Amino acid sequence: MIFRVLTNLLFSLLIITFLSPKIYAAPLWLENAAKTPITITPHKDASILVIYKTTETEVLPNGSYVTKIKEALKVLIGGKAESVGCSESISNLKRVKNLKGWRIKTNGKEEKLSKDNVVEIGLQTGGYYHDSKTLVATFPEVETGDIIGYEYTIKHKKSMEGYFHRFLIQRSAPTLSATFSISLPEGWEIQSVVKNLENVTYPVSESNTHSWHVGFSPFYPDEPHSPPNQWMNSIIYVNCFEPLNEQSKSIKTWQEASSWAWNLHKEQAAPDESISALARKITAGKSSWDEKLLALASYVRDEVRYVAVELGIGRFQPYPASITCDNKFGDCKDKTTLLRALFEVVGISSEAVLVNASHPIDTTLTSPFVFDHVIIAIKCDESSAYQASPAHQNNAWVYFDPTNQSTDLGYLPRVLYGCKALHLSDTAAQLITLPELSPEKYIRRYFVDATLHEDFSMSAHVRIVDYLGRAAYTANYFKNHTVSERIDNLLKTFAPSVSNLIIENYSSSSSKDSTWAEFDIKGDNYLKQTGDYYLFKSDFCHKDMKSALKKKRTRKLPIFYGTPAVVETTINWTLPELWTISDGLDSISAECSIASVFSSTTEIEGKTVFYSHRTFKGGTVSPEGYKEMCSYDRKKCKVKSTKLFISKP
Amino acid sequence: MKTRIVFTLTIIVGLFFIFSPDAAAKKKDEFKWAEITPSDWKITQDSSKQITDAVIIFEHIIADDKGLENDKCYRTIYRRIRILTDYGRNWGDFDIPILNLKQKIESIQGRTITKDGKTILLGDEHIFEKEAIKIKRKKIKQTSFSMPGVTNDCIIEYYIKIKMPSYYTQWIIQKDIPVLEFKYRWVIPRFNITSRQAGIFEDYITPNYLYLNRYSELSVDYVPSIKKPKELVFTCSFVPPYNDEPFSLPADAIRTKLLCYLGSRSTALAYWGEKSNDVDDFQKDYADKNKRLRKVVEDFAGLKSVEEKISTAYNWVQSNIFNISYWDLPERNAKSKKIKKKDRKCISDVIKLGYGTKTEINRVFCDMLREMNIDAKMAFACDRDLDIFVEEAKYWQFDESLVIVKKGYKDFDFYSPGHAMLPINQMPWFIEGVITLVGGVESNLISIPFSSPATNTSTLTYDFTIDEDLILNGNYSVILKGQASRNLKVKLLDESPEDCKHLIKESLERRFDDIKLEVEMFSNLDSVAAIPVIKCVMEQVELEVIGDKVLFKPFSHMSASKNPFYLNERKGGVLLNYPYQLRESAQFTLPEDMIIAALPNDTSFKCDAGTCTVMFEELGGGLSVQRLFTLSNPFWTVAGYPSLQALYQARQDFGDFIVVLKESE
Repeated sequence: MIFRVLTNLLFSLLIITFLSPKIYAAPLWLENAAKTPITITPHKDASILVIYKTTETEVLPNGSYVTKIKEALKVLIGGKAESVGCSESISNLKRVKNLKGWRIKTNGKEEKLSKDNVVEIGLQTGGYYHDSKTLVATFPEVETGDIIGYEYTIKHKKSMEGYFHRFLIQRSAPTLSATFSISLPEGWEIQSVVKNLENVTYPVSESNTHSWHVGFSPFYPDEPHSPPNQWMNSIIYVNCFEPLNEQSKSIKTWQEASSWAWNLHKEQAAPDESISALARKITAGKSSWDEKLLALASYVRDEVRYVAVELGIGRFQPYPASITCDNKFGDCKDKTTLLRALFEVVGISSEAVLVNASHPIDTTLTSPFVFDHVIIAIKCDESSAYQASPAHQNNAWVYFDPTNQSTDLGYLPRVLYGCKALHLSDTAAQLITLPELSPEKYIRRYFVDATLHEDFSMSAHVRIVDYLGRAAYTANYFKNHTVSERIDNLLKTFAPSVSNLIIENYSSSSSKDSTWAEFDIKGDNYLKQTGDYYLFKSDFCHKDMKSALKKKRTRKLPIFYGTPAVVETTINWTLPELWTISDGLDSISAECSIASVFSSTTEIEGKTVFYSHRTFKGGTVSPEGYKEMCSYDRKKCKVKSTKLFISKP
Repeated sequence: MKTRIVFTLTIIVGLFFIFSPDAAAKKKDEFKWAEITPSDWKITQDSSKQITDAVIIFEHIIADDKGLENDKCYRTIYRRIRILTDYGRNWGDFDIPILNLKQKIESIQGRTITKDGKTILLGDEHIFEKEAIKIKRKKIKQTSFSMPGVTNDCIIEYYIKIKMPSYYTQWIIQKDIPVLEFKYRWVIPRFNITSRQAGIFEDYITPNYLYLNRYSELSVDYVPSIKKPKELVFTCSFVPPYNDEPFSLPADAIRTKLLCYLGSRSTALAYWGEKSNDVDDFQKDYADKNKRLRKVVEDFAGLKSVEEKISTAYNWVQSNIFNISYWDLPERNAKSKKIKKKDRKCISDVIKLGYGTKTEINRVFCDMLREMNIDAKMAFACDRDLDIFVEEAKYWQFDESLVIVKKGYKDFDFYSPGHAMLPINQMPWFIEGVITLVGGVESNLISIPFSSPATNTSTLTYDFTIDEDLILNGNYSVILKGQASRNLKVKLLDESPEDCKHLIKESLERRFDDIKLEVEMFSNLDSVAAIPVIKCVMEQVELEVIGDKVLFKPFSHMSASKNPFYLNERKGGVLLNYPYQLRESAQFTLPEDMIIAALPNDTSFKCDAGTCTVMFEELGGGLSVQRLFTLSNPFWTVAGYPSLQALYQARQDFGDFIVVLKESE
């Protein structure tokens, strides 16, 4: 008996001893990933290579879901711990469970992820409050060639967000292979969009599991004149819904998306006594519809500061208008709701509108979670002058963003022009396209009278005028910066072109559609002498630029010059007597699909006049058009760097 | 009877709740707002006082440290702010500072007062607490709030009480907006000790205060009396806003601040004298058991000169003692025996174990010199990138160690083998120019001089070719000496060759304006004494054509020329890293059909801050360009700023020089 007990004990001990290293050893999937032959040559700037990534999500009818993630990375540039970290957002609804990590060094030794290197970070700053945090796990020191693996489960409680999923491939990390799958309840369907990804296969599945396999996805280096990063994310969006159940909370149409958001907004915009009194006070003495509209819109834009309290449902549901009114602070949806309540008191119809201020959306996905911002649509009165404004849509609405202090009523923030927007309504939802911005509605003009002196110094009177959309931006800048700060910024702008720069006699002002700043400048050594040649730069308002687009490089990303705008510069140079321009009187002109530039230097009535006009039309050029863009960009830079040869007696 | 018992118990319980410590605390904590006065409303924008968006009308702090012995200290902040613009409303959002990781917020109260007399109270719904960081089970919580009802013409005020287990010595008075009135009441810690014990410990528990970077005078009241104060009350008026300027000393080192701490009763001079003796005594104790060291020194017996002895000892400690301030101990030694980090209680331990921190390595070096009858002393200094030494502050401020050897009466040499990759004739840049406390000498606060620019020379040699399409290609090599060399070596410690390439590329690209380069080779980056050499390829640039002439600015393809000091006014001193010299030499090979039409003149600029010289020379089929830039001193006061600005402006102006090419006839 004793012998049997001892034998069993010994046997158990042997098994434990044999197995114990295995319990903590890297799992088989990671060991196999480590052995995967790397047949591609990663980009020299890529710090990691994603060898293998799987994301398996199971969605339940109530919107809760469970996701299992496995990821294997190879370290290409050691020492960069931040690049090999695993990072996942968490919140009261979303938790990470069973997180494990391993590091397999090049010598075969293994290291387990330590709890000391797992941290939850939830920093908040006064003015932005939210309940989400980021869970970060990493290995503090890694070497080139190390294999890092992570495995964890995400559990998300029921919520509407559970029906909408994003699978992201990091552009900063080349990926050999990634698989995303989503399992749905029987009868459910999906809408999906694949953005900025090639080599994607979508095998047909017998069960209600949809999966995407992404083959090699290269590293995308930072390239000059690229669209914003969020436009270029490599991402698969999935919206899940139950098609045949009218009672289902899932969302399959724009009307349902609108109704869901509408239900969160509708009660909140009901005006109470305080709102009514405030509306009457703000519009006291205003007789016309336009005057009342402007007064109320300006009040919410200017008097209610931006503070975002996005806790729980507060991420999607605005606070009641009366609370925002009392607090005098709120985020985009709070400000929109307050404005709607004020409008209601004076009889102006309006609707809340969802937009995405970060990137264009794909309308295939009928989900409210493709949007990240709220603005207001105002039903335009027939007599209103705002019918002619750039923010007016021919569907009789004028759109306004009460969050953006740089934008006047009648205009939109530049990033919103041409975007898709969803009106919130219980029955008559509209997905529309906001008006496009014409470059002529966002103008800056430089008017300069400049003198070149015999001692090679220069002086000039400069007037910078901003019109229409740009005027509001500049007016807001004036409001938030002292004269001294504005002069310091001008010094920063002009100092690269003018030596020993002095700025004097600064003044500025704003009117309805324009804003201007005026000042005198002086500088030394403006005329440069090289042997018998005398050179000066025609346009000191813009510093010399080298083209960032190089012909011999390849291009992966589209080319983007920003949102529509016009910049015009006119400089009238007075030269000393008997000095003449010996070379450089010329014109430059170039055009592409997203921009045009023209400049000329001529002599008119004894003055040398430099004129340039640059138009940015918005939009992008695909990488295939890169060579042509190189030519355009060179000319654009040449306009800014224009120089003239002077002949002096 | 029963009724009587119940009645009595009720009274007892009631009395308990009324007079319990918590109840007492809550009673005492009843805070009352100070009256808003007409003069508060009269405050408007005033450029002479830099009042623009908002101004702190007053800040009243109570630092109640009387319960320090029981781990109960309190900080109370009462602040009133006049908001004057839309932007000023942002002062209505506040993050409560984390003064101690174990602090608890005991009370938050706030209110907004509008001009029409309305008062809006800060409610619980406006206060937000969150776990800022969580590692394992350790959490740091963060509390913030947003004041309701704030307009661009109102007054806000808030009161916060924080409890923490220890006291917090420093209070930064100067904020990003002006402060009109500041009051700080320090309730001095009380200890449950006899007066005899108090006399014994007076060097550790005497209240001290220091007011630094002053704009206005500080008045001090001793309550109840100057002889036996229980509280110190400090007040000052008007502190202008802090203006952040580039290349300044560390912000917290130059903002107006108040330090209140327990320490020595003696003068600063006496205090540092005592500390100097302590440093020396500690070194003697640490070196008491140095049998192993003496054995090592025996091998140096043949060395004749002092320089040889110092050099040999220096190389020995750097080569034979593993520096755990820079590297982790390997898991196993050469014999595959597991290495477990042990305490090093004396010099012999360090030598026996073969590893130590940078300070321990310096201690070994110091004792080696002493054994060879060289007058070497341990010394300590501040890292000036983090803070600056304040002589009047009688507490330990140092975070770096070094060794000083006296050469003459007031002549010293400085060494620190404990800093990795530091050659024998150098100090790390961040302790150049600082005061060091030397152990065991009478004049114990000694200034470490800055190195000379010539010892910190970087030499860049460029080789450019302009092709027929007027595209400029080139490569260059870099030779680094002095601080630049050491900085790069430290950055690359233990990195693989691939990783080194990337780090070198990042480091070098910062020297240029928008120029990308690729590192081709590098050498001598893993040895202390060797001079690093790096070779790179630069990307192409197209030249400018006007009519039949081609223009190019040679210096736009070399290191950056832009003047960072474009503002004509400076409010505070400038502190750069170290003095240096940059030598650049470029050869441009022209296309066969092009010649030089005109060259700029050789030009030189000289001032107190340094020199900048450029030279051009036509060589057969090409052009030679040279630039020499010298920064004489890294530290400049406001008075010296124009000279510094002029030097960098000259460099920018020379950078605009143009070479004119034309087709050969």
